[in-house]
Amino acid sequence: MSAPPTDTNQTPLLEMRAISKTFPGVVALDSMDFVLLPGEVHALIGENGAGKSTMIKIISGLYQPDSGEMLIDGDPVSFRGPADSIARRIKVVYQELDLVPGLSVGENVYLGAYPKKGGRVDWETLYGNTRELLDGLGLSIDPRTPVGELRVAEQQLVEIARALSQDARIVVMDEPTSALSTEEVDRLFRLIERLQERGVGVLYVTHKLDEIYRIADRVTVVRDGKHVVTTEISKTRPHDLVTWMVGRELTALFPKSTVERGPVLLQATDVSGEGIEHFDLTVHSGEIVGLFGLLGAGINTVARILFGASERTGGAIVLDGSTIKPNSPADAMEKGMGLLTENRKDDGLVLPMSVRDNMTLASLRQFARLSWLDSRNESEAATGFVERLSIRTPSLRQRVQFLSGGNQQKVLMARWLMRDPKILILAEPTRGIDVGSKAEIYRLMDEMAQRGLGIVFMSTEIPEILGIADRILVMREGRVTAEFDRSEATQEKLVQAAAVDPETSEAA
Amino acid sequence: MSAESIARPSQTRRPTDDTSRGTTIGQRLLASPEGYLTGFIVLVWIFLSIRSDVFLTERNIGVLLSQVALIAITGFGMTLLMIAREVDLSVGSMQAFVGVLAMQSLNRWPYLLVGIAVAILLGVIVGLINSGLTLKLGITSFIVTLAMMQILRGAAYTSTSAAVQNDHKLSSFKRVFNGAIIEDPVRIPWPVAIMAFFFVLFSLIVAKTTFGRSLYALGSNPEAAALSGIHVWRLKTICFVITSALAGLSAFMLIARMNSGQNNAGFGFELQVIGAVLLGGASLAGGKGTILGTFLATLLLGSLNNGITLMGYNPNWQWAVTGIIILIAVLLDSVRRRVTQES
Ligand SMILES: Nc1ncnc2c1ncn2[C@@H]1O[C@H](COP(=O)(O)OP(=O)(O)OP(=O)(O)O)[C@@H](O)[C@H]1O
Ligand SMILES: [Mg+2]
Repeated sequence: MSAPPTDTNQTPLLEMRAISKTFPGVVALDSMDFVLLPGEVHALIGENGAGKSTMIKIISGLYQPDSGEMLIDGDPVSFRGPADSIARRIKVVYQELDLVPGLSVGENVYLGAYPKKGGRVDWETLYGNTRELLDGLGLSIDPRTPVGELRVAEQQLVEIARALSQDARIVVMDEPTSALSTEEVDRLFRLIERLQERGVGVLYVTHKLDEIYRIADRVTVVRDGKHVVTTEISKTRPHDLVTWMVGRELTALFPKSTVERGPVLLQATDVSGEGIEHFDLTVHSGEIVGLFGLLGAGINTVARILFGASERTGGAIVLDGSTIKPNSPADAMEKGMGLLTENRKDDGLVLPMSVRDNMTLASLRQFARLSWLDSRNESEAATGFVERLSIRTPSLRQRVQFLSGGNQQKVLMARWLMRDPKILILAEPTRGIDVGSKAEIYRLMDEMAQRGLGIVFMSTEIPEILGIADRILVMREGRVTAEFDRSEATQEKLVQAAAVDPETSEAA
Repeated sequence: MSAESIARPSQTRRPTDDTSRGTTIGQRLLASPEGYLTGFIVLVWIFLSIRSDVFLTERNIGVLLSQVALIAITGFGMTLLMIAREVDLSVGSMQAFVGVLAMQSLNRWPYLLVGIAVAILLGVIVGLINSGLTLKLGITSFIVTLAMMQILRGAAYTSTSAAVQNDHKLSSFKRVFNGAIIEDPVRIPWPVAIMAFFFVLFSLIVAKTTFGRSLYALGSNPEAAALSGIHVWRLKTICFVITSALAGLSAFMLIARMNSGQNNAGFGFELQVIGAVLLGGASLAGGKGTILGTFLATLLLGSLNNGITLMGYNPNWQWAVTGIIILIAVLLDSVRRRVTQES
C-alpha cells in the first residue's frame, strides 16, 4: 500500500531512503522513506511525536541522520549544517519561530542575506522588497517594526515571508497555520499555489486535515517514525488518514455528554483592561463556555485578565462566592482558577526542566509537607497523567524542551488538571495537537464538566467550539458581540458575529 | 474500551524515572560541572601532595578550608540569587562596611552575640534595600548592587580613617575564625563547621523544597513561573536577603580573622564569589547552578591558591589563575553541551 505513484519521467526534488534518527531513549525516525516531486504540495501527517519535525530538521541540515540516504535532484547529499541545505535552495519554516525579536521585520526577512550596494547594506531595497512581500501576504505591518512587537500570528507570517524572499526550490513548512486566522490561511494558500506554479516542491506538515484537502496533491503518513503510506489525496477520505495516523479506528471526535447545569461558579462583571471593555461572563458548574473571535478580537487578553496575568482596570470577578483580586495569578489559583495560556514557549513551559517538574509546577504545595517535596508522590502523579494524556516521552526526567510540540502542550494541560481547579480557562488547548489527542482533550473537558468544573474554552477554530461548547460567546474588538446556545449556533452565525464591521472600523 | 481507547499511545512504554547518561568515565566527568570540577580537584590535590610535604597535613587542610569557607558561605547565597536570575555585586564592600560597624559595636557592647547580630542585621537591611530597588523600580540588580557596592565602600571609608581595632578583648572573638568546634579525632575549625552547616542546609533547600523548585522555574522562565502561582517578588527578595545576610556573617568571620575592622576589606571579593558560582555551573541568564557546584568551585580555586603559596610563587598569581580557570570552565561547558547535544 505504500508504493508512491511516482511519475517516472520526473526526477524527485528530494528523496529520503531509509533515514533513521535516534535520540537518547527515543527512536524519532525509523527507516523513513519520502519522495518530493517538483510542483507538488506534499502533506506530511502523523501523531504528536511521530517524527515529522525531526524529518524536517534533517532536510534542513539541523540534524544529521544516523543512517540512510538523502538525494536532491538525484544527487546523494549529506548536509553538515543548515548552510548546506540553504545552498541547495531549500527553505524551511520551523514549527517554533526563530526570528530575532530585536531586529526589524525587514532585517529578519533578509537575515544573513542582506541586499548590498557597494559593500554596504542597501536598506532601501531591503525595506522596499519586504514591503512587497508583506503586501503579497496582505499584511499591513511596517517592515521597520521590531519583530518582538508583533503578535504571534504576524510573526509566523513574517517567517513565511522570509521563506518566500529567497528563491527556493523546496519549501518546507512545519505547522505554519497553527496561529493564523482564516483569512491569513487563505492568503498563505494562494502563495503556496504561486510557488507550485513555479515548480517549487512544497512539503507541508499539519494536523488540520481540512487544509490537506484544500491544498495538497499527495500525502505521506508517518507513525512511530516509520513510513506508513504515500498516496494521492484525491484517493483518500479523512477517515482513512486518521486510521493510518493512529493505527486503529477512531471513535467520535467530540464526545459530548449532556451535563446538568449547576450553580454559578464564575461571575465576571463589567471587566475592563487593555483593549477590553465591559466584559461580562457567567460560567456555571458543569458548563463549557466557548469564547470565539478572530485574532485580535481580544480573546487572549480576556483570558489573561480573568486570571490576573494582565492588568484589570475595572470590574469584578467572583469565583464560587469569593472575590478575586486583580492582577494576582496566585490569588486566582488560590480561589480555584487555572489558565492554560496560548503561547506555550513564552509563558507556559520551563524548557530546561523535566516533564515531571513542569507538570507539578502549579501544584507544588500539594506534593509538599512543610515545603518539603515528596518526589515519589510527584512521579506517581506525573506518570498517571503521562498515561492518561498519552504523552510520548522516554522518561519523566526528560527535559520538556526535547518533547515534540504536541506533547509539550499536553504536559501543560496536565499541569492544570493536576490542580483540580473549579474553573479552567483553556486558550487554544488543541493547538498543534494531533487528532487522536484532540479527541482525548475534548473527552477530558467533557469529563471535567461532568464532575462539575466550569470551563472557559477559547478557540479560533469553529468546529471544535461548535462541537464541545454548551454556550458560545463571540468577541470582536474587545467586546462580546453575540451569544448563542449550543442548539442554535452555526458556523455562519459565528463568522458573521465575529467579522469586523466595515462601517465602524477602518483598521481591518 | 470505547472512549478511553481513543488516544491510546501507540507505544505503550511506561515512562521511567531513570536518566540515561553517558556510561564511560569520560562522559560521566563531562556530564556536569560537578563532574569535571571533582576531576580537577583530584588532579590538583594529587599534584600538590606530591610536590609539597605540607599540603596534606591536618593544619594546612584546615587553613585551606577555612579560607574556602569565607567565599563559599556567601557563594551559597549568591547561587540562589543567580538561579533566580539576579546578582549582588555589593557583597565585597559589605565585608568592609559590616566589618567596621560590627567591630565598633563590639567595642561599645562587648558581647559576641551583639557583634554577630549587628553583622547579620546589617546584611538583612542591605539585602532588603537591594531587592526593593531592583524589584520596585525595575532596575537590573547588576546596576542597583553596583551602586550599593560604591555606597557601602564609601560609607566604610568615611566612617573610619583607619582600621577599627579590637578594644573589647573578648576571648571568644578570635576563636570565631581560629577556634575549632571539635579537636578530636580531627580538628574542625569553626568556619568549616559553619560552611558545612550551610552547605547541607542550602543543598537540601535547593534540591528538595518547593522554594528550590520554584527558584529554578523562576530563573528559567519568570513569566511561566508567575502564571503557575509562584510569588516571584517574594522569592527574589528572600534570595537577596539571604545573600546579604551571609555576606554579613562572612564579614564577621573576616574581622575575627584579622582582629580588626578594615575599611578596605573585601576588595574583589564579589568577583571571587561570582566567579566561583559561575564556575560551579550557574549562569548569568538564571535557572542554573547548584550548591555542590559552588562549593567544588570554591574548593578548586582555594586549593590552587593554597598551592601557589605553598610552592613559594608570588601570591599575586592567584588573580590570574582564578581568571584562567573560569575561562577553562566556560570552554569545557560548551564542549559538554555539544557532546550531550543540549541546545
Ligand atoms: N533534540 C531531541 N532530543 C531528544 N528527543 C527528541 C529531540 N527532538 C525530538 N525528540 C523526540 O523525537 C520524537 C519525534 O519528535 P518530532 O518533534 O519529530 O515529532 P513531531 O512529529 O514533529 O510531533 P508534533 O506533531 O507534536 O510536532 C519525539 O518523541 C520527541 O520527543
Ligand atoms: Mg513537530
